[in-house]
Amino acid sequence: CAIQPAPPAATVAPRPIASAFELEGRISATDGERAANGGLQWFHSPAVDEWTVLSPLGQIVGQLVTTAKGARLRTSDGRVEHSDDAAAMLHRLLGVAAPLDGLAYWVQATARRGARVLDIDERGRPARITDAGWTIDYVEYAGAAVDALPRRIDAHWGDARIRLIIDQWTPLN
Amino acid sequence: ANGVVQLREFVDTARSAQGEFEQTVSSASGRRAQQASGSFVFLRPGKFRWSYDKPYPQLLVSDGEKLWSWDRDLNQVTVKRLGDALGSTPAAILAGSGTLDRDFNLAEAGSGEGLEWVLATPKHAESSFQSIRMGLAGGLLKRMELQDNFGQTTMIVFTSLVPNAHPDPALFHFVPPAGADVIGD
Repeated sequence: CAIQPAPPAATVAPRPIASAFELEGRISATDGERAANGGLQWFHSPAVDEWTVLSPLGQIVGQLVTTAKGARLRTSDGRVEHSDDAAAMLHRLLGVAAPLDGLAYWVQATARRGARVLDIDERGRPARITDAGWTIDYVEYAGAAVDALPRRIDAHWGDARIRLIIDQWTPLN
Repeated sequence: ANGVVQLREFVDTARSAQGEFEQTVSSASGRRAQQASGSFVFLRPGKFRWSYDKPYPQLLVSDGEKLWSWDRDLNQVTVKRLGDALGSTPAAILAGSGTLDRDFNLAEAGSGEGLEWVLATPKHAESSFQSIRMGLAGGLLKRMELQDNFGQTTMIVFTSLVPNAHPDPALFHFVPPAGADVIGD
């Protein structure tokens, strides 16, 4: 899609943002060599994030709980690891170094402070956002509403790529 | 006959089979159970096609060497060497050949719901699930219940299973659709 000059913020349709939610979908992530894809269940709240990646057969491949104090990663063979570097653990789980604190905005098609809406669709919804070096494309929205949630997100940064389909979304506040 | 005898008979005599399945994944955390369904076909050794129609199209295909996993919405195909990937999955029960006792400890698990049950526990520590309970009748596999290491249970009911159906070999080869991302070896 041709990139027009960044629209003045006024034309980006305002949209509510949930500070806590539960998301179910499918994710594929690659850093150019290795790739992982599977089901994703993500519980987000200001204090705690819980990420669960599943195989198509429903087996949990890995589960990561992150808080301000650190992270606990449990892998499919039952082993548990602790670390105070939550972002590194998310990288291990997803296979890509996604910015931990930015993702809650990405999935709500919202540019946080420091991020920018580069392109909008005909309803004023973000079509492309840049954030922390990542380019996030909103390929499909879950409906026609101005504040509809994205259904398919393609984000890339260099060779790293994340593709997310949001199947279910439950705001919790 | 008891479960273990029927399972051995099934693995030895059903060189191939095809049919349909319904899958329910329920977790210990009381999260809503997730339903899925689709069709399957396998040909020992190592070849299988596991196709989900619901809740969304997803396909797992193995030609005995490589395992393709395709998700239409993600428009992406990942390819992995089959190798030990088969050994630690339920597909090993269906498509394995002569590896049942190498990969699993088998124990009688009584009868119930009109089936004879077997409990199979993987011999390899790093397997992604703790145990598989299998229900058989008439020498055919009817149900599988997989317990992973997180208290998650996947129940698969084979609503139809036709053994020795001489499947078309092309079913076990996957050609990525045009435009799909192909990732992996």
